[in-house]
Amino acid sequence: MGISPIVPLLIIVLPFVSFIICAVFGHKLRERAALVALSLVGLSSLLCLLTFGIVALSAQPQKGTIIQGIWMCIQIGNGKSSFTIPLGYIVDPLTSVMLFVVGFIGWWIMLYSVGYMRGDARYHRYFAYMSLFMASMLGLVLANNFVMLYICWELVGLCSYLLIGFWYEREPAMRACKKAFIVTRLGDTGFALGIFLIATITGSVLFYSIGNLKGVFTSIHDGSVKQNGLFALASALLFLGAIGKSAQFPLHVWLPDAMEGPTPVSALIHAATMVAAGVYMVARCYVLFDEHIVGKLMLLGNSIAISPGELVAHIGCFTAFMAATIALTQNDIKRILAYSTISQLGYMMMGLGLGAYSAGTFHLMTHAFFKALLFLCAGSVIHAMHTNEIFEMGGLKRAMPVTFATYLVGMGALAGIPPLSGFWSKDEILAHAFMHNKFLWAMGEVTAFLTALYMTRQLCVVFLGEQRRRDIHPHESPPVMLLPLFVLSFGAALSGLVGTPWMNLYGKFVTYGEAHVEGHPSSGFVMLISLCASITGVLFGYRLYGARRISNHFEDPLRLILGATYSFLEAKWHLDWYEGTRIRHAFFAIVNGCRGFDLGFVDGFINLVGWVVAYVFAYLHRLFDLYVVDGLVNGVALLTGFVGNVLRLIQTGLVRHYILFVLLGFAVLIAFSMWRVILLAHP
Amino acid sequence: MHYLVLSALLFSIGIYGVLTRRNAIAILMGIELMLNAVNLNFVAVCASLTPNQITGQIFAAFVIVVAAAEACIGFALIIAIYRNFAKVNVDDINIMRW
Amino acid sequence: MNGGAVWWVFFYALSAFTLFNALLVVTGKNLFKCALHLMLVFLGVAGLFLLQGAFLLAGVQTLIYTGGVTTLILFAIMLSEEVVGRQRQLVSRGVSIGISAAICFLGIALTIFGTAVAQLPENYGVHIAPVAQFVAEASHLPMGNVRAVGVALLTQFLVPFEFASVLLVVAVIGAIVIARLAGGK
Repeated sequence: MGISPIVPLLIIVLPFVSFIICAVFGHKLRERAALVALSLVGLSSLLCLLTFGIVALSAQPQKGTIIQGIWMCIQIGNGKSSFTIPLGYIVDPLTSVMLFVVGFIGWWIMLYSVGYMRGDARYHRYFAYMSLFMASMLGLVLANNFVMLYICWELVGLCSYLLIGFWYEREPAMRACKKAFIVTRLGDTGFALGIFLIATITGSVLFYSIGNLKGVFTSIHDGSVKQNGLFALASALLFLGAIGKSAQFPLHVWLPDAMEGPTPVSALIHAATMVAAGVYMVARCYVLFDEHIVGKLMLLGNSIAISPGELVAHIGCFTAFMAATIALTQNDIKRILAYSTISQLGYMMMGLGLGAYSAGTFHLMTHAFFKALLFLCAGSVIHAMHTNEIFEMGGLKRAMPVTFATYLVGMGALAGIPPLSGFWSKDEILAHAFMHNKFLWAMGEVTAFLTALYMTRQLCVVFLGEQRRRDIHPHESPPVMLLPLFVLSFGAALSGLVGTPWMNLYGKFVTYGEAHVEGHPSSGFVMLISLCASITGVLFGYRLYGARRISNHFEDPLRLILGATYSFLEAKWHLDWYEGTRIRHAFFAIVNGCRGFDLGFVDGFINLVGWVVAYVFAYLHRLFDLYVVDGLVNGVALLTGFVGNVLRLIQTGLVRHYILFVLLGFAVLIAFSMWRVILLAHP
Repeated sequence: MHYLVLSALLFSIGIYGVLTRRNAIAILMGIELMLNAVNLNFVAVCASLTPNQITGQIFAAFVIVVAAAEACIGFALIIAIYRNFAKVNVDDINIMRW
Repeated sequence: MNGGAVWWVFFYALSAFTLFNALLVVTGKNLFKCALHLMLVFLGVAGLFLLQGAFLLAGVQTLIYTGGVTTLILFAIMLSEEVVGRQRQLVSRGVSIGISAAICFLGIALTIFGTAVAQLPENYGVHIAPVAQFVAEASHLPMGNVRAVGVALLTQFLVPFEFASVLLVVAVIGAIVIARLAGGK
């Protein structure tokens, strides 16, 4: 079955139209903006599901189905130096899965927002941004070339900036959105450089060949572009973009602050759109991370040789571990989830780096479900409690039973409790790690234990025990918010079942090339260890937090156990360099220097020239105005006045005189004509 | 030729009346004389230059129509002026003066 | 030449009658009498029209001028002056100006005619025919034919004709408005 080229176009254009409508007519639509956005984005999501269904049904086992098309070509230059940018779409299993995740989860989050954002003054603007966010993320997923990918990549960044800073009156939100934008920009710079490098090496930005347009991956894969050391550099630069976007060490610092936006935005950023972009990009460019194809990256004068894949895996693993430890000590319900996102993204990167292509993307999908679910639950809790501090909550199990139940599903999925989705995808990654690198595997297992621990901690503190603040009377959220929770909890619970070791449908569907078919390396030992790690974490957490009564975060039992380490973790490993004074101050010193140079020298020179020119011209202009223009005007007035003074003398007001004048004029006319007659008669 | 002389004489008498009379009604009477002279001219010239056409008569008819309208308005104005100033001597009325 | 002589007799008699009355109009002391002389001038001109074969025009002249305008003038005089009572000074001081202007104009006009008529045909402006024959012929000529004038007015000159009627309506309404507004003050 084929897909008409109009379908991918509609998938991108419909949310964009929604954005235009909500942005332009928003102030008239007010509450109805949500209806517009939901219907248009919903249509787009339906098309996403349709595309996914078509691809899934038509997929041949062990062989990727790639549907491509080009909407328009942009030609730069002509003749030999011309460069073609074919704007089009690509639909392969990876894309279709991403379409499904983004469209499906994104729409449910938007539905949830209807309830969450009710009464906000900029209600329509919120839905405009959300629509643009969806449009750019879907465009990113469907892009068939690096340029379009980059454009959508930046649009996603822009939308996250707008949405994180949605409540820009609040100081932290304002700071957070700037931070997110600036930090990801560092990565984007690398990404752009990587794209330039690839375009230079291969002479193309297209992913896969279409007709006589050769694609980057196709030509690298079949060896028509000779391998050289620049490939590894290019992939490292591309990965820099992913580090920024997917919040990997050391550019992870923006993500925890991004929770200053409205909670549904956090859900969207953490689950379906923003951070998924980096992982998706690495998966899309997977050829470039294959050691057999691109070789190794030489660092420090060839003293260290590391393949791009290994780099990705190590950074991912370290990020996963670091973020998990930090999550242990945080007290903000959303911040904990944010660090868990970073940790899970580390897992994905680790999987991709180790060659577990389908495992990494599989975890991306399952994570999208349960992280969206968890954030929406957190939003529901915050909606009820009007606070983010977990130690101010407690005992919400009775007041918010639905939220508690769905939260339990999400927490189980994240902590890796079988048969919930997170277990299967995480297990697949860990099984690959066990095959390739025992150290990374061990770190992964420790992280799994920590994940279970901090999630249990959060669950117990928030939902179990007694309510700590008596002045707030929490209530269950409205149905429009609960419905997405239900739907997503089903997804979080069941989506892992398509990728079990015994029946790895997902792995057969989403494969990387023909040569790289991977099964689920079924390892009973790894699975057992993972299960143990998760169960131990949950039990340990429950023993620490579930049984005893904790009134504030100073009484956190972990603090007593870990001692000084706890403070180190609470300070986020002192790694939040963006907030760190030294780097910022150095940066500001440079910036101020530049500013001073600009103000003093450049502006001074320009102002001097401008002043001189302005003075001379003003003087000349004044002279001209004074003597020529004014002279003309005054002259006309004087002349008119003079003529009027003369002519008024004959205006006697007597009819007889007027008649006389008429007759005199008549006589003159007749005399003139007589004169002409005489002239004619006697020339 | 005779008609032209006759109409010129009539016209001159009308001008004399218009110029010498002080009474507005008398002035209008002079104007009527002049219009009649013009009509005579129209008819005579037409009859001798283009004996088979009646354009001159049509023109004279229109002149009569316009003259009737003019007389109508003129006398209405005279009555209005008389009611406002209680006089019809044009020499005494100089509100058209600057 | 017999018929022509009769025509000339009529012409000179009517001309003298018209000019005499016209002079009385512009020189008379009594405004009321002046108006009556004006009526006779109109009748004389109507007769001169008849001599040219312009039957319709003669009728119109009689009806409108003699019947309508003269009445209008008489009403205006009666509404604005004490006719029978005091005699007002009708002639203003600028008599010499008027006379000189009139003579000057007459001289100029005659000069023009002299110049222009030199190039005209011999019997210009004169119908040399017995009156009876003249009248019989004239009723068949297009220029004397009432029907021809009527057809021309309603075909070739229809638009000016309609404009003229509109003008008359406007003039009548305007006159009423002017007279009434002034009276209301």
